[in-house]
Amino acid sequence: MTRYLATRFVRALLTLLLCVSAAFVVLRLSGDPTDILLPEDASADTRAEYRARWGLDRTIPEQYFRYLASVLRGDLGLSFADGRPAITVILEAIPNTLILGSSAIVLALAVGIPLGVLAAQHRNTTLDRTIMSFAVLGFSLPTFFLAILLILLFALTLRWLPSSGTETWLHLLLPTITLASGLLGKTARFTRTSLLEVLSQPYIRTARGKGVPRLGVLLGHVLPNAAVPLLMFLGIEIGLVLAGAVVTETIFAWPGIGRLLVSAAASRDLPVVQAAILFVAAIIVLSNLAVDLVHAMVDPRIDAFGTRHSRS
Amino acid sequence: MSVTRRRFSQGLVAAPFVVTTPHAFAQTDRRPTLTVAVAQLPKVLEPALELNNVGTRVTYSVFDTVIRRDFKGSPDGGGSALLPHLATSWKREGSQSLLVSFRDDVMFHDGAKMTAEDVAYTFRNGRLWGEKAEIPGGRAFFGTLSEVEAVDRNTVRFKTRIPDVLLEQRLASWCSWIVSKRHYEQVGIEGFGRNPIGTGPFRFSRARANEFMEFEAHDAYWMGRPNARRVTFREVPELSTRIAGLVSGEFDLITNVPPDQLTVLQGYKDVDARSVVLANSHLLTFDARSPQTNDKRIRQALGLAIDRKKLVDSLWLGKAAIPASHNYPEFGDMFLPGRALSFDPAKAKALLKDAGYKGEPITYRTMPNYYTAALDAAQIIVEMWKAVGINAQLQVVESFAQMQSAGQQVGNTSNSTRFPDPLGALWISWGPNSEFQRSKAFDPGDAAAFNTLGKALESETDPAKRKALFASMLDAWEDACPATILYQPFESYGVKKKISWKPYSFFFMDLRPDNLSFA
Repeated sequence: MTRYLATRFVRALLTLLLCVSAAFVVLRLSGDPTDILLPEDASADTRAEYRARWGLDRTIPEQYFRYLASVLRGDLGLSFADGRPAITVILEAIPNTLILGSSAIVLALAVGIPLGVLAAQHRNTTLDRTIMSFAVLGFSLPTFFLAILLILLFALTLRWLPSSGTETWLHLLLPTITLASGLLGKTARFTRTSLLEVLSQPYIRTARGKGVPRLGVLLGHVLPNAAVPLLMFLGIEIGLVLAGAVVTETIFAWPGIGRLLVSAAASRDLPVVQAAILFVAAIIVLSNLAVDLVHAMVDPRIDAFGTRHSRS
Repeated sequence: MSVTRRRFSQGLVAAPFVVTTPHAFAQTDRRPTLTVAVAQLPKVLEPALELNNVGTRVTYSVFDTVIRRDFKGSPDGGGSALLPHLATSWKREGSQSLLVSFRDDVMFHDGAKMTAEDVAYTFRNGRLWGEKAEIPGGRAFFGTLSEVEAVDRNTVRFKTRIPDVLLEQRLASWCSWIVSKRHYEQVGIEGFGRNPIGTGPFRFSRARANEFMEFEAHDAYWMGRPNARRVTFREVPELSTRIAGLVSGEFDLITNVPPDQLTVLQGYKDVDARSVVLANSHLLTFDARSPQTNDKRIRQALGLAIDRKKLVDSLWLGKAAIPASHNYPEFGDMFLPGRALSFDPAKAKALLKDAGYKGEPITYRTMPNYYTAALDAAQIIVEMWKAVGINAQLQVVESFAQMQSAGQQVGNTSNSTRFPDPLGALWISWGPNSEFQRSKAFDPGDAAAFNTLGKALESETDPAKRKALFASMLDAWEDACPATILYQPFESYGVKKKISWKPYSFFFMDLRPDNLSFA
């Protein structure tokens, strides 16, 4: 198990290094930050002075190795825009992203899994078709479209909920629903598929034949077996939800990592963009790592080396 | 104690009073609050560091300028007369010195009195001007200063290296916002940017990055108590969210409303759309370093083939202005009547023929969103050029660096009228220190006559001679044709009707008591 863990951990670190390196190179090739950060008529001397101050006058390989050395020391650089440490800027945004992301995940799971179970248990009925139609709608509606619809309905027409901001729990509702909708739909659909697959297995027929009650079959045999692929799916999706709320955060003016990333990229604030990308990559990598570990724990077919053995 | 029906009823009656009475005592200040939704908040509040639309719309009411430009003096929000403000009076001591007297009752937000020392500190060598100026944008405004000294507690002498007829205008505009010397020295430029102290009607209270900036009324403000007890600028990047928030009452005022949304706002009975033509023009630049646009006849033809009225009608609902060349009414006595930007396709064709143009491709680069409607305008202009035989090819780029890299013949830019004088507009944008002359995109040979006239204008003080020099200078610029003006865009705000507030031709948002009140 230790070897399995170590392998996964090294792979995670390599993935992070690749993400950070790719972001570093692309950002350096995407234009001179002084174009955006200094006035249009700033002199060449002033531009040169700022490039030197920010280390942009060095070669890209030199900048890259200096940056890696700083990251290893825990120093993500200073924001070009306001001079604060990039880590401080990121730490201000992380709680908001975690609040929004976790509320969306809780909502998606709390509603999506029961709906999937209900649909599977009433397969090919009107209820099943209705639930699945809403599920498909949930993950196929573009986020920006749903967000604007919700704002038009709840903020503009009914005036029940605020359209943006973070002051009260009411401000959390519309962005949470928007962010959760995709995951909710996918969770319901995936749960239904997993359950139907398990329900057709011989051991379920055996359990029923032995007279195990319907609820007992569901809780004791169907759900534990359906949970394995569902966990794999959720692990990846949860990482994406936490890291990928860019559109939702922008529309609802929710000051999380996604919006910070957009605003820092637009103003070519390279240290902040790099720190945000590092955070997003870390979330994705960690959630994948967690999936691997949980999978190894819950699936007895996976041995200590991470190899999957099928039953003969 | 048991709860009887009678006690419960008594409790119900008493509850509202118990709950609201302490609150009522606390809320003795009955002035309303103002919430402004902006597309973007400034990163810092050092007023001279954020010389852009995002920064100045916030800092304009936190700081005061030495002299006040009377924007409200003109119905279009672009008045240019100068009024006493922090300065009570000023007088010239020869062509290179100005003695300014200041009010004695101006208080900073921390309760300290403003003195001449603060003014001299604001304009000191090393902040806005000089070899090691720490604020890069400062030199363009105060690069002519040579010395600023506090003569006594309320008097300051400004000296310039050369005769500077615009010094009073400079002291009424960008970068002349007075900062607290004591606080600035204590916290440094970065600390000041996060926690500023000025003399304006609103003092900084708190902020959360990318979320909001909050300002409390500075009740000791020398122009009188502000009419709002608090102003909050909220960052709401999405336009539809800003509009929804305005209509639902979350916001009182929203910025950056594009032309196509004005009719939407006008559909709500308690909301006003207020627009102002900006002291800024969108231009197309022609790079003379490129063989295709090296001949000024081709550049002139490019300008003559553009139907600006069609652009304004189709992209700006007819509300953007087509200026009389690089020549604006706010120049006052320096404005040259009778000038116009021509649309003459026949003359364009003749010039192209004279220049021997044979359909060589001309690359037109633009960023999609940097200037409002830039891409739409570019697509229309390319078709207008095709109509006279110009083979223009549109390239969409992401940055100015990409736009100006090799292979470009046409690009876009904007020129602001920073001071209501040709020296504050045409000369700053196209003179020898401009990016276009430094890069030689404005050909040195073509620029020679323009430069000679501009330098003469800089040191000329006689009004009639100045006007004649400007006319010749504008002729030289139009003849060399390093660029052509398209139009002056307009900026729109959505405002609750109960709020009396007027926008200016700059992005400054004036929330002083004489420009902000509530019905």
